[in-house]
Amino acid sequence: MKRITHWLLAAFLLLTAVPVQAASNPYAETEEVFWHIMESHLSKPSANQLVKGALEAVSKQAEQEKKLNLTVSPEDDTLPELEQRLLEWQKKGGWDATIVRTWAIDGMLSTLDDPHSIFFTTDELRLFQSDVENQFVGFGFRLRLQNDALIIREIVPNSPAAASVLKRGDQLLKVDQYSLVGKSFEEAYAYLKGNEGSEAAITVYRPSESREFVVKLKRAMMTLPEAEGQLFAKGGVGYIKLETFGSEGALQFRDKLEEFKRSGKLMNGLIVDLRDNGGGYLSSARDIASLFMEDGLLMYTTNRNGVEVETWVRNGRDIGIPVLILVNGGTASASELLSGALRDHGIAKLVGTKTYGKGSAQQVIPLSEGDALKLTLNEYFTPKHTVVNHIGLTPDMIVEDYAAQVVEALHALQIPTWELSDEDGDTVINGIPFPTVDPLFKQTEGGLQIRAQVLAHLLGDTTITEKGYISLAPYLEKHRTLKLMSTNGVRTLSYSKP
Amino acid sequence: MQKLIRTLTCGLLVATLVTPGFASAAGGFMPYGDISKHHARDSIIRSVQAGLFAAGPGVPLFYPKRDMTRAEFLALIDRLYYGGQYQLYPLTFLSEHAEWTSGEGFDKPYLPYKDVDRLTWMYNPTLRISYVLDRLYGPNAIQQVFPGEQMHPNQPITQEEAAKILQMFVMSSDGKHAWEDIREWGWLEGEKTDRLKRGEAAVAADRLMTYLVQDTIMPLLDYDGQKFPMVPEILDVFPLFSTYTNPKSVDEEKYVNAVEAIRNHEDTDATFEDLRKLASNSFGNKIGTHFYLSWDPSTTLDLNLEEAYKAIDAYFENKIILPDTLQLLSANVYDIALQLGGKDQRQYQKVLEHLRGYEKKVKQDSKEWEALGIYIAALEVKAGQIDAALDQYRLFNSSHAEALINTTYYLIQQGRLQEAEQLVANQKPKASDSRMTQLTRLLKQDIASLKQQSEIATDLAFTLRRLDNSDSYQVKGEAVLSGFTFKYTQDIDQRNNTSRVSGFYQSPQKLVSDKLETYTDGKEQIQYSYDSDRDKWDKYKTNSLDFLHEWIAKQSAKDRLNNLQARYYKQTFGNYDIITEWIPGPVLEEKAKQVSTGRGKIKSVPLYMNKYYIDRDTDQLLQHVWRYEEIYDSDEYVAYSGTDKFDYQHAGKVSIPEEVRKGVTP
Repeated sequence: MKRITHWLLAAFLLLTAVPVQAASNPYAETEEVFWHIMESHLSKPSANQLVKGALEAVSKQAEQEKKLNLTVSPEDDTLPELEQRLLEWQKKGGWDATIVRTWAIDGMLSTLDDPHSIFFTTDELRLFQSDVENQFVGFGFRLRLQNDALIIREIVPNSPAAASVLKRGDQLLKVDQYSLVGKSFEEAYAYLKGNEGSEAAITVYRPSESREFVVKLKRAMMTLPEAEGQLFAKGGVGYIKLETFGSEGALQFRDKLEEFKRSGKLMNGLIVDLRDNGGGYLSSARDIASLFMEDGLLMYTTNRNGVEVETWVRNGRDIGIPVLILVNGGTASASELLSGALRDHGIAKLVGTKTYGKGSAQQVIPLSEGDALKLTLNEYFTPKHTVVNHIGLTPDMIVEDYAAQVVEALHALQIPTWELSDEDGDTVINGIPFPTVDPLFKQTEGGLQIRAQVLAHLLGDTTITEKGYISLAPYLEKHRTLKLMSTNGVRTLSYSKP
Repeated sequence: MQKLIRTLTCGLLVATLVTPGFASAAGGFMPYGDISKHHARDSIIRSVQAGLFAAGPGVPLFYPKRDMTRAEFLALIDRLYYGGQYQLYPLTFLSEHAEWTSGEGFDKPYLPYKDVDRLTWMYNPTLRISYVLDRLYGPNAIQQVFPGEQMHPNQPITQEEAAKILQMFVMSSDGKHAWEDIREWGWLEGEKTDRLKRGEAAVAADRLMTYLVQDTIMPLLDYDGQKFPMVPEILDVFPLFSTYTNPKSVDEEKYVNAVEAIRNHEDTDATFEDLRKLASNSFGNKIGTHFYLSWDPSTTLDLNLEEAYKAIDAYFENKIILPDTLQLLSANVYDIALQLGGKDQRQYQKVLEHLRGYEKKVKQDSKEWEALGIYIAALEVKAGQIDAALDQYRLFNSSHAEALINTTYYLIQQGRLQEAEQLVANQKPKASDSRMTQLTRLLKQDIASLKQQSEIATDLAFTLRRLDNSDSYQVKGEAVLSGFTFKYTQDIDQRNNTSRVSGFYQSPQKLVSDKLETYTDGKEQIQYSYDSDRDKWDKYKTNSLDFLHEWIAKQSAKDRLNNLQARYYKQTFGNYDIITEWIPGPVLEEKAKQVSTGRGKIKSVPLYMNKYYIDRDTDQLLQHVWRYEEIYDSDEYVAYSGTDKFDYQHAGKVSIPEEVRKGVTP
């Protein structure tokens, strides 16, 4: 192109406006964060706003910590003024610069009305990254809460738990000396977590053997599969649950699809479970989208300067079968991006509840002292220019109940025969267990009850509006093809479409 | 020792391709269980050692008789390209570190097929080769090899299809001649429609490797003005000049350690102090001590040169004929002369006279004589005595590759193209001398293209004139200027002499891109640019030049050929004519003395090259790829590269809105 030079000159001029920081400045990192936000954050905040935010945050902490009254002056609205004030207040309060710095940075970020712009210390950054890669430190079991008891519902392969005598169904009683009986998930988690390599004695009760025993386990770093799944027992429908969009997600997703193909069964549909998937890398979302479409627009991205760019999926492959995506309020970011794109292209329909509404993209910026800033740089829109941010995607089929969402998706795929049961606290639907908070059946004095919404969606009966449980008997009478069987104490509800 | 170090790094590049495995091939290395009796065994082994095929415990068999699939062949070529990419650089403009995309929102290449998916092993190698072919021959060039929506990657590849891909490594002016070209190079031996066997592919790869490490594809092309006079490549720059066995004497130990230190760039003043002591005592290896003393960075270049001479003196005192040693010692002198001389011809003259003094000590027509002669001639060139150099080169150019290239080059420089052609035509290298055989062929091709220079310049001028004469057109482009990346659409309305650019750019120091909006009024010579920070339109005068490349762009193709010594090369492939243009830096530096630009005076021009892709039916310019590097007196280094795609359908009137002219906030 001819003559793009003036742009270059203008850009150079802008550059010189950024001062070079002195290394000795205790607020160097505060400065860096200030400039990154000023230059890059989607909302184009003003200096005044950031300075006020920082000072107000420090002032509040001073009040809380030392009952120290530090008044934010309306005159302070530039970075040098901020730094001077921070130094002054730090002396007054006798704090460490690191503490004041963190308050100030958090204060600046709090003015952005953007929960996704976050300051990370080195350790927090590592945690965040392992989260995206579905890595975590722990013993290697997954729990469920049943009748106030914490039960091991799954043991992660190749984990410390897998190498021990622990089994699915064991009930956790104690971690070291702390009792877990009657504790909530959150409380239990607080006791169970710890650093990599640290050891704990875990007391468990095994109901099948009616005995209590103690196991010593070391916490280890584990990488869980990002994509897991299997075929439903009936109807040639695949199920893939994607936990996160990490660096292995796309390849694992591809492998699952290939595994289904190798089964030799005629595929009639695919259910993709993105519930509680908080997102991950954009590149991973694009690669996964390429497993659904030959080519097409994935999204539009805009930034603070009004530049809009397109991201395309190329050299993919059409999936060729109907796709249902399960979504809920925990479906966020890359999950919403993928869901929105596949829906806009007519490839998938969404089932579940409204998604989170995180239509923004962040970049992790390393800071000079090893910390990092995760900063929102872009907003994205689906191929039909649907706004996601703060709004979320409304599913095509709105279904509240976790298990009923699966039932509805299978209906949409014209599945004619059904088997539903309870197993270890999971609701098993056509052979695949789904972890649910409440069981499918409940025995009461008035007879056997069933989760109303599961039954409603199974029968396609819109007159069932109850949220909780309803009596099953009247429906068994009414629907000839709805049958309840019981083998070895496990109840199975079977149904075939009349 | 810059030059030597450069040749050394060249040698390293070669080494990564050939790998040190050649020697061990004889040692009975057998990577697969099914090749020991196959005729391609040695080629397969060499290819494995060069990293072209996977081997190891998981890959017990090679299946040399099986058909090679299209995808397998592309993966093989991808690896060969990786090793030989520097050879193709003047035609691809793709450096080793070239990235596929400038980032988010910039174009990413993809394949024009429906059956090669992203998440497969074959995707990246196929895409890379497709990308290189696009760069060489224009958009979707791979379709000329595998036409249609499907590439059928798992289908066996035919000999002819393989030839069409291998053609990228040869100087081939027409895509239609791929089969003949590759057959003539002797890389494939079957029939067009034969399926290529895996063993045959290994043989082709082996021959191609040999080809790639010898001479450059266009031996007479000097795209950066640095190539001539050409001197031989030296493989071992740090020899001991003697063999030492344990136990070593104290002096020997000292010497070997000193050489080791210099070789590893760990030399200190003490290293050279040791060498100086050795040189003054009875230590026998005078060649070595003087040679390495000439590397002492703390003494003057004049003293270094003295030591370099002493090393040669010591060589002749030894009275042992070692042409490779003499070559290294002469190279050393030449290299110091280059550092001393710069552009001063008298300096070279002095060194030249000294080196000539040794001529009488060597036997005419011997290898020793050639080893010395090639540097004498190089110094003659540097001293401005081209005729003398030519006389020198001619004495041994039928047995010496560099002498032949230099003779040909300087004859052509003097306008004696016919003589050069005759010289090359008269070469009858022995079939066993693969380098000379290859070089003669390459020179013939290169001369054939040199004879068409004025024709090609005319074609290019015609196409560029068509562009200038069209009423309006649209350009979609991406460019990188000094680290800033740009993506834009430019509408050019030549009737109204106006143009509009819209797009975005990304500063290397920033995380988010910014808008690019300009209008240009050619009549008034004013550009209006939008400043998104201030939300305002700014005005700039456009009547002065900012960069040297803007001045070059104003020169017609004919002027570039005649005044700027532009070199042209034209290829035909599918629907496109591709013209590549190189202008050597030294000529530009000379001419630029009269040009003043916004960036100041030019100091040097390391690179100036263009590629034009022309529609053969309409003669219209479809795409322009460029790569320029300029260094200004202020030491500002400007690198500018990019791709413009021209569209003559989507174009129209560009009128500059009043609010823009008035600088009103939009």
